[in-house]
Amino acid sequence: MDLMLNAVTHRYGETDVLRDVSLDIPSGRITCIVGPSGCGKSTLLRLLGGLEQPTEGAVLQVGSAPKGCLNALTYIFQDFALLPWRTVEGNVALVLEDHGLSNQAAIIADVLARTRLTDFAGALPKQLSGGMKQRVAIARALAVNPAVMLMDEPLSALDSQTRELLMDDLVGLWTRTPFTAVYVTHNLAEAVRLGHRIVVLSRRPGEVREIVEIETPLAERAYGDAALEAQQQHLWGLMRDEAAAADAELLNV
Amino acid sequence: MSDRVPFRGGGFAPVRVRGLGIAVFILLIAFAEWGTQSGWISALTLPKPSDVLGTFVELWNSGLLFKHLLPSLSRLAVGATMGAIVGISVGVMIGLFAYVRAGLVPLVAAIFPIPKIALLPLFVIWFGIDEGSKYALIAFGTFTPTVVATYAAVDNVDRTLIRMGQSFGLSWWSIVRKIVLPGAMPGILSGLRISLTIAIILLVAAEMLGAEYGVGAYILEAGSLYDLERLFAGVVILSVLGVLLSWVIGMLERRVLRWRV
Repeated sequence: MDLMLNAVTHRYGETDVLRDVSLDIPSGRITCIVGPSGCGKSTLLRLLGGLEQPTEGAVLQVGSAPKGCLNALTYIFQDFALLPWRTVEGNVALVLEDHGLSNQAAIIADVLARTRLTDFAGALPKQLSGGMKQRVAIARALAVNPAVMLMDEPLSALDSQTRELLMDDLVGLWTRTPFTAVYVTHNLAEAVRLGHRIVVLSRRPGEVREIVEIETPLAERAYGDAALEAQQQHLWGLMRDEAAAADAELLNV
Repeated sequence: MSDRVPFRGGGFAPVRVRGLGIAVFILLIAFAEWGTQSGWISALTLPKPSDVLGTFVELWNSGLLFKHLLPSLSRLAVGATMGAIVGISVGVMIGLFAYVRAGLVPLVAAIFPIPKIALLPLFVIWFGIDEGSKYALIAFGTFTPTVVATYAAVDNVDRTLIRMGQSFGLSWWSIVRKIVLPGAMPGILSGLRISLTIAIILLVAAEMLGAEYGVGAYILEAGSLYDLERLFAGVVILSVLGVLLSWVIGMLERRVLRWRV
């Protein structure tokens, strides 16, 4: 299933947040969205998953969701959004319970194994580190077998070492079973590491500035790779002035 | 020259001190005993704690204690349970539905400051002079603080969790049951702590009218006879009741809110 944004403009009151954004999200690939702060990248993600309605234009679903998919558009949030009163297992079960599945326990066991959380099934979120909490959120997202994963700065609340480890995890997960994802981040290193295609947004009102395709397979991209470094430099060149302007703009508010 | 860097980081964090609370009680009672024994505090100012204890033992031996305590406890249980259940339900409704909120919040604000004791004659007419009016008074008094605490607690449930539930396509009822209610539980329980204490206060008020037995009736009778020993014995019963209730809620919180950081 592909997603398409068709000339989407979005406003909050008088302020244009996104202007005339057209974009397609091809299936089986990770699309990264980068841009300076306040450029509307998180808004774009909320529009994609139907948590908000665009002022103008439309968000379209092309084709139907794969079989066995319980929740086509599934988010992974920056702040994990785990229920603190449920165990790891319970948090994954939460999104399955409404469907009354007979193989619920098997699904939970499978996704916990894929995210290496089997030993922590009975732990409460307060006992887990940040990286583990995000792995629980990833397990929960995998459990509903999504058509598109919508990831809103999933690694931004983590320290840089944990971030590296989780990026490896995500690459591993994708390599084993490619999934479709939209990955919003302000971190260019994450974008060049995980993105097959990187969409650069301009500062507010957000418009598509450039789309960069990276052909290197995910599994071959390593920490500190020179070619990736060059890509990152290129992206930073595109964004640098915008980011500075966006920063100054905030000061004037 | 080298000085040790002065330590400035102490204090402010709550530290658990065992036994100090009981020590304060014992000290105060010992002081009162000493004062009354030595005649420094006159018998009209304060009864001797040992006499109060004697009255209490007498009360126990004659079986009158339970004759007074059991009806009080059942009034408290029935009234407070009704008030808390209706209060929590209405509070959750206010938290969930904009129309209920718009309609009921001003009403709750209007009845909150009414001293419920002032309405006792009205309750007697509505519900009869028997148990009915006593249940109603306690229930009504428990209801308002529970409503306010509950809808504030529902308002404070982490919005990101609700958004998460919606984004996974959970049904409305699932979101309420599995996200809103558990999330509001800490606030509801701390609200109950206050409203159950108010229920004890109102219990005494309710028993001031047309009750033959009950801790309130006992205190009222002792008061009108200026029998300070019995008055204090009754007051001690109420205090113990309050401490017990607070302990029960503390236990409940530790059990239900184990997940809290």
